[in-house]
Amino acid sequence: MKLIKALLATSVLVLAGSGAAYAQNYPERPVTLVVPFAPGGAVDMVGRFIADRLSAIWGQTIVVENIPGAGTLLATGQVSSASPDGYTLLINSATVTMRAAIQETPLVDPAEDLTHIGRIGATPLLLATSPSLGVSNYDEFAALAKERELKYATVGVGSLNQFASEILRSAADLQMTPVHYNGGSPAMTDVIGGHADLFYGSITQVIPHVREGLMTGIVVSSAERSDILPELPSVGELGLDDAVIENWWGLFGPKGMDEAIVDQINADLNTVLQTPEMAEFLQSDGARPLWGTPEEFTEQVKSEYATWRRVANEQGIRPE
Amino acid sequence: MDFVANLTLGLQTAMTLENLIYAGVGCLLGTLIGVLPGLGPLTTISMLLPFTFGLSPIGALIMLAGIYYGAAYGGSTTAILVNLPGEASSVVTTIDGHQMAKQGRAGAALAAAAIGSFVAGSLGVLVLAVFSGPIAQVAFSFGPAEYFALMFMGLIGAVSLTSGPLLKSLCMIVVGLLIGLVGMDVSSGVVRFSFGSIALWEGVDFIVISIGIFAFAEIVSTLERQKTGEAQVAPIASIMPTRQDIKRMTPAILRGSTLGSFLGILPGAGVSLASFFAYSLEKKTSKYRHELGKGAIEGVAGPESANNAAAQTSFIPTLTLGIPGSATMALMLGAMVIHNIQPGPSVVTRNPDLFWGLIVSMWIGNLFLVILNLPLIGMWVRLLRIPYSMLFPAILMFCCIGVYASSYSVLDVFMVAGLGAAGYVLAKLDCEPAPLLLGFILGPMVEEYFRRALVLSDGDFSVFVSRPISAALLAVSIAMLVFAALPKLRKARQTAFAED
Repeated sequence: MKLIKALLATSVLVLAGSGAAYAQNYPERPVTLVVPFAPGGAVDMVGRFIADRLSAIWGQTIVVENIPGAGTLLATGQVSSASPDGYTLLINSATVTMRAAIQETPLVDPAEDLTHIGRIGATPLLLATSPSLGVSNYDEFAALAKERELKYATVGVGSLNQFASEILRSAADLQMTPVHYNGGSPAMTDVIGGHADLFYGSITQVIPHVREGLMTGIVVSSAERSDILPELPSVGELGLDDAVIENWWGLFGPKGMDEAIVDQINADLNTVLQTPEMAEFLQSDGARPLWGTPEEFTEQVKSEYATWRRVANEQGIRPE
Repeated sequence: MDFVANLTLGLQTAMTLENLIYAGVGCLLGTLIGVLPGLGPLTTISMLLPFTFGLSPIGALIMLAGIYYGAAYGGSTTAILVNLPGEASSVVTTIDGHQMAKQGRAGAALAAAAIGSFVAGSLGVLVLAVFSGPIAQVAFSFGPAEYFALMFMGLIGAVSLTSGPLLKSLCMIVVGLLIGLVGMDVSSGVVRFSFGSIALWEGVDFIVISIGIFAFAEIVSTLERQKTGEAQVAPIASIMPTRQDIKRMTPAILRGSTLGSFLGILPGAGVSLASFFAYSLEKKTSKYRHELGKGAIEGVAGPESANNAAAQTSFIPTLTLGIPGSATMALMLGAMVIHNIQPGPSVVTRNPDLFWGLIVSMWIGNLFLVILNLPLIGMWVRLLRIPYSMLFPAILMFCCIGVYASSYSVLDVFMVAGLGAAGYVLAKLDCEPAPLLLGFILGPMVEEYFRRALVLSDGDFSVFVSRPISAALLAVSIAMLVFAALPKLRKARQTAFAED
C-alpha cells in the first residue's frame, strides 16, 4: 500500500513536469498556518486574518496552530523541518531575524533554513519616556541621554526593543543600557512608575499610555512620520538614517518549497493585501500592508539578519 | 461611595450571559470532580485548570471561581457523607458533619455548608471592597526593589502553609525554586536546565507541576489508603434545613463569617486556620456547645462560613502581596499569573475590570452553588458510589488530555508522569507540596526583581534597605523566619493544625 502511494506520488510529480502544472492543484487539502505566539497577540490576529482570506480564495480550510516558545524559534524550527509541500506555513515577525542573530550558531537560520513567501505588513516603533524624566521632545531627550546613562526597558535579550534602542543609541551617540522584562506590560508599568526611563516598542502597545499622558511620546522609528501620530518626528527626518527600524510580518515555509507554489501563494497573498479591508485592519494596529515578490522578501530577510548579527557582535548582545 | 462603583464595575463584567454560563459550568465541573472521594479541592482545581486556558482572561477567572466553589463544596460533601476531608480546612467539617450524616441529617449539614458559605462570601466581598482602596494607593511606589522584598516575604510565608518541620518546608521551597529556574532567564537570555530541549526554553508549565505533584500523587496515595474499593456513603433524607436548624445556624454563620473575614486578610496561614478557629469559637460561645462533636449544626455552619469568608478576603494578600493563604489559593494564584494577572499592589489599578470581575464572580460562583448544587445533591451522591477501579484510570486519562491540550507538548505529559511519581515519594516522606508550588511561582519572580533592581541601581545593594517599603518588608520576612524557627511558637503552630 505504501509502495503504491509512493509510486503514485512520484508519477504525479513526473507527470506534473513543470512546477506550474503542479501548483494548479494546490491546495488539495487543509493547510496549517503556524503562529509562533500564544493566541490573542498582534501576530496571531494578523495570521488569522490572512488565513481567513486565503482560505476563501483557495476553497480550503487553513488551520491556525499556535506554537509559542523560545522567542518564536520553537515554531520556526518545527516549520523549517516540516515537509516543504506548501501545507505547512509560518507567519513570523522581524523578531525571527533578531533572536537568531544573538546566538553563536542559530537554531534556525532565517535566511537559509526557510522559504520566504511574501511580506505582509510593517509597523514603526514608538519611543516613549517616563514623565519623571521631565523631557517633552526629542532634543531634550537626546541632551539628557548624552549627559547621563538612561535605562531602557526591553522584553528580553535580543528583542526588537533592544535592537531598536541600540541602533538609536549608536546613531545619535546617546548613553543607554537595557533592563529586561518578561513582557511589554510590566516593562511599561515600570517606565510609568519612573523606575525605568524609557520604552521603545510597537506603536500600538505604547500609544494608549502616551494618549493617557502616562508616558511621553518622543520619536517614531520609521523614515517618515506615522499617520496615526503625525505630531511626532521620525528618526528618518532627524537625519538618523542608521536608526530607522520597522517591525514587519511575513509568510514563510520550510526550505526548498516548489517555486510555482511559492509564486501562487505570494500572488494570492498580495491580492489579499491589496484589499481595502486589509489596509483598514492593519491600520487599526498602526501598521500598513507591505507587498512584494518572494525575492524581495528574501533580500530583506538576508540583509536584516546580517545587520542584526553585526549589531549584536558590536554591542555584545548575546545570552550571557 | 467608591466601592459601590467598583462593585458595579465587577457586576457589569461578571453578569454577561456568557460569563454566567462559565460560572455555572465551572461550578458543575468543580462539584463533579470534587465530590469524588479522595479528590480534594486542590486536586480538582489543578485537574480542571486546562479547561479555562482557552477562554478570555475574565471568562477564565469566572469559570475558575465556579470551579473553586464547586470543588470546595464537593470536598465538604465527601467530608460530611464519607468522613473523608479533602483538605486541611474541611477536617473540622467532618467532626459534626459526619455525625449529622449518621443521624440521617446529612441534607441539613450540606445545606448549612452551602448557605453558610454564601453568607460568608457576601460579607467577604464587602470587606474586600473597603480594603482595596488603600492598597491601590501604594501601588505606584512599588518598584523592582519593593517587589523583590515582597516576593521574598511571600517565599518565607510559604513556610507557614504547612504544619510540618521548618526544614522540610524550606527544602520544598528550594526544590520548587529550582524547577522554576528551568528555561530562558529574562535578565540574561541564557537558557538554564533545558538539557538541550527547545521545548523547555519556556520553562516548566505550571499546569504540569500542579497536576503531577498534586493530582497524580494524591490519586495514587488514595488508592493505597483505600483498599475497599468503594466509599461508605451515609444516606440523605431531606435537603431542607428545619426552622430549628436555621435558627441555630444563623448566629454560627455570622460568627464564622466575621472571624474568617479578618483571618483571611492576614498574609499567611489565615485560610487554613479559619475553620479551626471558628470551631474553637463555637466551642466557647455557642449556646449548644455541649452538642458539638455529636452532630451539632453549628459545628458545620461556623467553620464552613469562616473558611469561605477567609478564602474570599485572602484575595487581598494573595493578589496584592503574592502571599496565598492556603495551598488552594496558591494554585489559584498560579492560574491567575497564567492569565496575565501579576500579583502586586497595582493589580487593583492595572486591571480594575479583571480584579472586580473576579471578586464579584467569586460571589456569583457561590450563588450558583446554592441554586444549582443543592437540588442536584442526589446525583452527586451517586457519583460517590463509582468503584475506584473505574474512576481513577479515567481521571488520570483526562488529566493527560488536559495537560496535552494546554501546551500541545508530549514532553509535558511525560513530565506529569515523572512528577506524579516524585509527588508520591514526597507524600510518603511527609513533605507537603504547597511550599514547592509557591517556590515555583515566586522563586523566578524573586530573582527577576532582584536583578532588575540591581541593574537600575547600577549594582548598588543598598537599594533594598534604603527604600523604606523594601526595608520594612525585608525586616518582616526575617521576623517571620525567626518566629517560624522558635521552638515554642512552632509548637503552637502544630497544635493549631492538629486541634479537633
